[in-house]
Amino acid sequence: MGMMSAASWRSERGQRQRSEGRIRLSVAAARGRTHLVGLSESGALRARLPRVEGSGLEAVLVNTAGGVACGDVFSIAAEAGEGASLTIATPAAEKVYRSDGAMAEVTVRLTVGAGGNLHWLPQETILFDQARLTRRYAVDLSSAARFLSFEAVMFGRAARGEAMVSGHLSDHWRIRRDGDLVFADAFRLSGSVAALLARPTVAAGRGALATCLYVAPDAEARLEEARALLNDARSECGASAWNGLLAVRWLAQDIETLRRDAGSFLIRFRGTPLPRVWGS
Amino acid sequence: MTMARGAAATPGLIRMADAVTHGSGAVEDAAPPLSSFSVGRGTPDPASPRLDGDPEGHAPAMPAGSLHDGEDGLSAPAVHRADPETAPSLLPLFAWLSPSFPVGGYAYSHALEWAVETGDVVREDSLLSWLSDLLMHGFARSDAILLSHAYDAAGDAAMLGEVNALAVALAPSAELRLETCQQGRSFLDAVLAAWPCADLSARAPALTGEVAYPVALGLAAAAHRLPKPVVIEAFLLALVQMLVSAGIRLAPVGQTGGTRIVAALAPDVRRLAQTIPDLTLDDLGTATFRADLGSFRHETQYTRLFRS
Repeated sequence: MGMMSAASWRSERGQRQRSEGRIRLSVAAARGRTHLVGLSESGALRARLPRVEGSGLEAVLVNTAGGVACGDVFSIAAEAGEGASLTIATPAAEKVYRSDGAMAEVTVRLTVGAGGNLHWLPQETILFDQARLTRRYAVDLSSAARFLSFEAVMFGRAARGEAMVSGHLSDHWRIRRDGDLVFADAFRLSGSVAALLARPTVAAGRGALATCLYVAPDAEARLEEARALLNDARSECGASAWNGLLAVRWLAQDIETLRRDAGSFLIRFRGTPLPRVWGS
Repeated sequence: MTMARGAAATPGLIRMADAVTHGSGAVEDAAPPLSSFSVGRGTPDPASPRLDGDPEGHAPAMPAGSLHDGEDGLSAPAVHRADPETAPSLLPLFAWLSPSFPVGGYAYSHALEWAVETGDVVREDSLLSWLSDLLMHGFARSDAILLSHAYDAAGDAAMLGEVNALAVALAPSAELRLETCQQGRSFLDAVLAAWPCADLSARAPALTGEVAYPVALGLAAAAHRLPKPVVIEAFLLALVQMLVSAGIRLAPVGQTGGTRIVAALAPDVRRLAQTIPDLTLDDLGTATFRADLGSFRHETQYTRLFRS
């Protein structure tokens, strides 16, 4: 697809203009279906709304800049109103290129009303050597909402034998339910990334990791089911549930193993196929 | 990893470590009567839980932990010469961080039990390496940042509540949430019951429900006018000691080996502690993805001595 060719030239030129992208999307339920009620796009971000089965709406966020490079700033805001159902995906892995020092920043703000359902399902992020990326996720939920997110990161390009020797990734998560902070996470891998990943406490030398979060009234009740869905995984993985949320983590040598294990989990746990753009 | 194994710690740190490890009974016996902690200090300004004469809460021109080294620093005279009825004392800290203080730390391994089960921690060297990571890249660093911010927020109920909510929410698994919240509540209740002071009684109600352990300690330390840099350093060392103690019970590591690990990590504790007061809540973050995943897996581990 077009993204790929854009990606290849960007990766070979050190100097470029920093790109910016902003998208605001809101959906609402009416007459038993979810409808788009607001969409604004600027810069490099666009939303496509493929026709899907069922009553929900799927949005595919396209980065027309073909990746993320130093100093890029992307901002995504999506809201699913009461009773609305929204799935957000991306058409391909997001590549984060080597930085000359500036930090790329991605901000994601998701809001779900009572009875609403939002699944945040981007494909994996691939960090090139010397990439620098900070992401902030702020999620505001009604206590009667359902929210599921999946984020996978691949450090380096194993297929090309390229490790992420150094760089920076920090991910900040804040999830609020009826205004109360119920989950926060701050993942921070900075400096000698490959040396850190080699450590048993960090990744034991593996390069692909992923986390799924599920916040919903039935989250804790689904822990045993979630564990059972991990039984045939080849990744090192596990699940835990507390305080109305369920978390699953995977750690794998390569992104193919991780995609297979996590994809299998997501299809069965969600009870519905992955977005078609996942192509798996 | 940079790690100066076996490097000499400061005299102050060694004395604190000795007291925490071996002298808890003596420390508590030697503590002044409770009344000396609740009288003679007037009504402190709740907005600035600082030592008198030290508006920044730092021991000037002297690294934290060097309390016995200098005559020009703030804390040394306070510890050695000031009127014991009015001067701040470090004795509460010795008592609170002692394994005999009823916090229940012995029940938690922070997923070390899983790491032993998987063979990631097998001997003294791998235990040292694992704990060094938890200290420098894991929860210990984050907890120290949270402690520091709780200390600073002690006089501001709304801010203190926010720091606590963040600390509780940052627990990455069911067992690690239990680990910090059970210890936090036990600690706060024990200090309120046995080491009461007006400030603490006034401020503790801001922490309703679950309390993260570093927040409880930060609040109590501020209320008792303990110097923040020393509290951070001592807290980190106590975490290391608690985990070493768990490691000795789990892995073929002896008492001497465990002691060597504590001594080897003491310089890292100091170096890390000195960075903490300058860090913001935005600097929170851990790299220990797999150790946290280990705490997920510990929940279904067949044989378990520990609650985390």
